[in-house]
Amino acid sequence: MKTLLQALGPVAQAVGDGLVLRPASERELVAVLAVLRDRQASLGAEVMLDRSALARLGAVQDRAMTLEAGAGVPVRVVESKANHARLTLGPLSPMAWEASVGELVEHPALAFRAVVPGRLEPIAAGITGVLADGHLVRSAVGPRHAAGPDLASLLVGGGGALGLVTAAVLRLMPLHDAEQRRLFSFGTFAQALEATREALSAGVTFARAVLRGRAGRTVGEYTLRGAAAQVDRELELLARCAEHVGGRFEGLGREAEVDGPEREASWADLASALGHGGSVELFRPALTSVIARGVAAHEFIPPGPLFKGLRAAFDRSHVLGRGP
Amino acid sequence: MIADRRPEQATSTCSFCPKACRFACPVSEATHSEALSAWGKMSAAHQVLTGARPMGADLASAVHACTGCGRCTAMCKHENEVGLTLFQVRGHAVQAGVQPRGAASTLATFQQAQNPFGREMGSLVASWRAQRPVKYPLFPGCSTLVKRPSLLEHTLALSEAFGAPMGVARSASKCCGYPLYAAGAMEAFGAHARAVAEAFEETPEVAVLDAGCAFTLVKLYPEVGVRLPCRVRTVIDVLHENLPHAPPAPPLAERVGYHDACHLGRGLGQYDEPRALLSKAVTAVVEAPSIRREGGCAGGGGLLPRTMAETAVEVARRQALEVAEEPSVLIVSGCPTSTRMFERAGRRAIDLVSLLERWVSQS
Amino acid sequence: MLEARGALEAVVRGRLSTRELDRLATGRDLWPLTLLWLRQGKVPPPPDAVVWPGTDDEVASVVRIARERRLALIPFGAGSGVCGGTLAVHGGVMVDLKRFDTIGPVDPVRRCVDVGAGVMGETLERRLAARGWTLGHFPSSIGMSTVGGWLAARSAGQLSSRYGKIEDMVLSVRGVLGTGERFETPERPFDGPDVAQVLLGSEGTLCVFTGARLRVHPRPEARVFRAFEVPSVERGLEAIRRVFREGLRPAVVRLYDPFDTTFVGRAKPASPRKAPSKRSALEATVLPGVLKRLAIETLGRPGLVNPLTRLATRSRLIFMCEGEAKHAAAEDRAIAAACLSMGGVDLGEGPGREWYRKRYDVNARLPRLMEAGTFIDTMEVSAPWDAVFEVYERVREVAGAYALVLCHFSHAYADGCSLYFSFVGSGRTEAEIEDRYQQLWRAALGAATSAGANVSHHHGIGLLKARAYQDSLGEGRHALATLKRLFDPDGILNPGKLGL
Ligand SMILES: Cc1cc2nc3c(=O)[nH]c(=O)nc-3n(C[C@H](O)[C@H](O)[C@H](O)COP(=O)(O)OP(=O)(O)OC[C@H]3O[C@@H](n4cnc5c(N)ncnc54)[C@H](O)[C@@H]3O)c2cc1C
Ligand code: SF4
Ligand code: SF4
Repeated sequence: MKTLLQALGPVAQAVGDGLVLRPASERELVAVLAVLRDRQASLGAEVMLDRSALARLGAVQDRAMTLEAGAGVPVRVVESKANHARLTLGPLSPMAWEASVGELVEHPALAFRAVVPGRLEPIAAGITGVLADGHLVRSAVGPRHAAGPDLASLLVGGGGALGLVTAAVLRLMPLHDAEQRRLFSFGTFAQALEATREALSAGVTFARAVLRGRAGRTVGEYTLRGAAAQVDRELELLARCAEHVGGRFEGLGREAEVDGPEREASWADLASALGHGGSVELFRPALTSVIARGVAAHEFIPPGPLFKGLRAAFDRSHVLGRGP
Repeated sequence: MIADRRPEQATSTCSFCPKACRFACPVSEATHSEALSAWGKMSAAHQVLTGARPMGADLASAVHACTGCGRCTAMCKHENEVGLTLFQVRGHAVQAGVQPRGAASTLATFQQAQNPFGREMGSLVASWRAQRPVKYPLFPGCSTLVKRPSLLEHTLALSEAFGAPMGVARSASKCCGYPLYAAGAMEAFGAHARAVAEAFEETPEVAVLDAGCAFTLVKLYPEVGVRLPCRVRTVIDVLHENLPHAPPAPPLAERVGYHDACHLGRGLGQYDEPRALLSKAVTAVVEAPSIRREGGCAGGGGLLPRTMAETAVEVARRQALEVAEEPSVLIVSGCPTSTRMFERAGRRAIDLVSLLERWVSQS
Repeated sequence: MLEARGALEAVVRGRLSTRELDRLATGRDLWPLTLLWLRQGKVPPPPDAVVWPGTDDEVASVVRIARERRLALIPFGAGSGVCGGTLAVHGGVMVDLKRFDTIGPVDPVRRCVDVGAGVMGETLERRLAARGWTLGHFPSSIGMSTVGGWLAARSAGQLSSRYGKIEDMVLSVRGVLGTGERFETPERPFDGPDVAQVLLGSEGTLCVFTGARLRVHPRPEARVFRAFEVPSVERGLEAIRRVFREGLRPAVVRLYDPFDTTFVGRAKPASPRKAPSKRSALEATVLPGVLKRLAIETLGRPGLVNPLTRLATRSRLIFMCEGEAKHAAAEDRAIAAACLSMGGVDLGEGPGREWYRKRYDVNARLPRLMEAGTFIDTMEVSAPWDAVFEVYERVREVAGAYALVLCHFSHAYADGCSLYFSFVGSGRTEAEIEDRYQQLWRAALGAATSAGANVSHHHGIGLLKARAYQDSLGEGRHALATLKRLFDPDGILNPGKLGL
């Protein structure tokens, strides 16, 4: 540990039995990883990486509605800066608000936001990061590209298994205070789920929804947030979608919540939870998946061969000490 | 004298085209071949026409890989007549002696017997001739005469039931000449058309059973400068006109899929008439994703069953799936050639006329 | 190749061709440079053979044989790419995927469908439409491109502002890596990176796609069109930006620059063209010569013609909202309010409907223009809102030295949009034309990227943009090289493309 400390230089600090590494730039992170690789050491409980010094917070780009932030910046700090410019990161899940930018962008589920019609889009319009092998990755500019494989995807949502994000250009949206809730009841939970999917596919972007069984029926309470006109438009659409599937309007709801850990869940997971008489709370609702409370933990799915291959290629020496 | 550069223009347009009709060609779809797309075949033909490559066996087989269905033309913003052009270019294969075997043998048979079956048709037609006056002289087409007498029986019976009695015309012993045209023997086709036109002089109006024959008489003859002295109608058109006189009968409890035969639909514009007839005869009609002007092809045209027999059947199999994925659905077509192709592909299929006959005969 | 022939033939059960016809037909895509060559009587080097595998295992066997014999393999969709992606620059074997042509049933609960890589776009969309669904992916090349080609080149359709690009529609992809291993990417939720996104866009250099599970949506109940005339490109761009900022998601957004507006502005119903095979002999002989002369005198002098295009200032802006009828109408009203506030003049639904009717017609202009001795090409890039106008101005300025430049803006997002430039040029000789073409691309792409755009929004890289792409990656090219080593260790897959 001592020689490692010396080799790492001022970036490293001894804390208790272990080390804390606090790189302040990409270059420093590259150097840190090089030393760890050389010494066949890994990040982990003993050698901890602290990205809080990657703390640069850029200016709000009002036209593109983006803001570049270092991986160590707390998401709440980004939000507060965005709010000053009347922008917001949007309706994130509670867990996301507690994360740093790096954790947010690397998280397999939190790294994506839901957009019309029920699609997912990376929260980061662009990232800079360092792969475990020490090479830098900077994503292509522009909102979308057809410029080869998406290299940013090695890091975005990658759980820090192949490399680490050092900074991200985060997508924002206008900050509006209109918020409305609606409660609908359905004959079955399958109908409630179908209505929810139909609403998403039709273009509703709700911030949160709670689905729960009540007196033999399933009720869905949907919260919409945004510009007043947009919320009104989407509320009407939501009502029509719900009615189309046989739902009945039941008033404004009462801001229900569901306890438990947040997980990324498929619609089958939601059906299973509701089928067992549970309640679910949905954040970041998309047709592909949702972030939810009230769903059971997944069985451990062994990482696929592609992922294993990528880890072997980029982190041959397991310097990141991460991943399954 | 300006040389006729139209085929060259047509093939040049395709060569520089971004394959805009790429998905349309049934032969290309059935063979999964880029070279046999309308673009591929026309690009190859262009090279022959401009002298960039000689007409060899390979190129000859490519220009023969076309049913002349016209689906590409329907999708083409230039309405480029690929089928017509490729059939013209087939003439170069005849000249170069590199015709595919099936096309060469069809041509040889035709030249001997004046029909593609090598049969003496006069006596066959005589055996069907009506014993009493009829309203519509009927031209069944030689393939029905030779291969499907039951269809002819149904036609005659049905026409009677619709109050529009038909009887086989004397001119029916002539083949319309389509095989010559499809083999690229354009001059022989022209001469044959003129001979047929003479035989038609005795009838002011004729009802044609086979959509391919009707298309040939109505659309292809003018291409070689021949206009028939009589009015040519399809049997379906005549039946449609007389539908109000059809005997009352409840629709058959059958779910059928309708196939727009190329020569009947795209060729002669008859989309609504067969549907109107069908909607009376059965309880449920399913439609394919692509219908009417954009409908698929059953693989029977352009000598394809002779030059690429397996491909022709595969074309039919795919079109049958397009019309109805479930094999239990009966496929109905207004063209006997299409019906035969569906049957060869192992599907339940019936001619519209035969189905109508079943419908009216229940009463 | 000859030694491998027997082995290959065995694994694809005879579906191999060395016929010149097949090799030539697959040996080029629709890269306009190859059309220039065609005019000169040249063809790109054809592959040695074409194979048509029909199962993932067959593809895997083909790859393994190619690895043993060090044969290049080029995946082939329908050859509608415009960047030379399927050119057999190192010879080898074309792997035509069109036997992967199944369209599975739509899963109405999960709203998805399994599709083979060789399915043609238009066939797929028609089949879905007949069942009441849509993929929402309508590239102008829908009639001539395959699902595999879309995946390989990150294609975008005309309705991408709502439905996203193809990579947004993918639930999972399957295929065979350059190692010969079969793969299927996991569906959400999963741990670790989204590997599908790492493979999408690889243009045949990392893997062969054989199929995908794609998101589908119910067919829209209604479509609402509206067009505006805006005083300038800047105002039009600002209107689009505001529309997206307000959370509106029209399916179609198209802003034509003033010169392009003069083309679309003539949105009269198209008069039926005379089929080339129907033209009189005189038209067929004399017309091409006249057009050629005209092209050289006008398009061959872009320096004279381009300034004229600056005289026009007003731009046309088209929107289309689709989906549930009342919602589409409500979105349309909100869009109208945003555009009117930017000085837009409401032109009603006519121009939008007309565009929709003729949305694939652009394909039809190509043959006439090419026959007339011109070159024509398009460059599509995207940029964040701050850079969009600058990219527009810089490219026009630089490219204007070589060709007539038109531009429209489509595929809009909350953070930026794509710019779609059309270049039409000519020259006195074929050599001069080709030279100009090459210079034009170097200059235009350089100008675009230095002003803040990426190298491609949806056409991909191929050979055409390989160098610019590699330059744009900076240090990221190491990551790309690592992916190449991992997934295609012997470099047999589509060598030369993406600069790999
Ligand atoms: C007139 C015109 C209009 C166009 N409009 C659009 C448009 O609106 N939007 C758009 O996105 N594109 C457009 N394009 C470009 C082109 O159609 C797309 O790039 C399309 O995705 C290519 O599909 P394809 O099947 O023809 O692929 P190909 O041209 O055959 O191949 C393209 C590339 O992908 C690789 N590839 C193909 N199939 C596979 C596979 N199964 N697995 C791995 N690699 C594969 C090839 O090796 C090649 O590198 C247009 C092209 C033309 C000519
Ligand atoms: S028929 Fe028309 S659309 Fe098809 S390749 Fe020829 S010119 Fe293009
Ligand atoms: S006419 Fe039919 S078979 Fe012939 S090229 Fe056109 S689409 Fe193919």
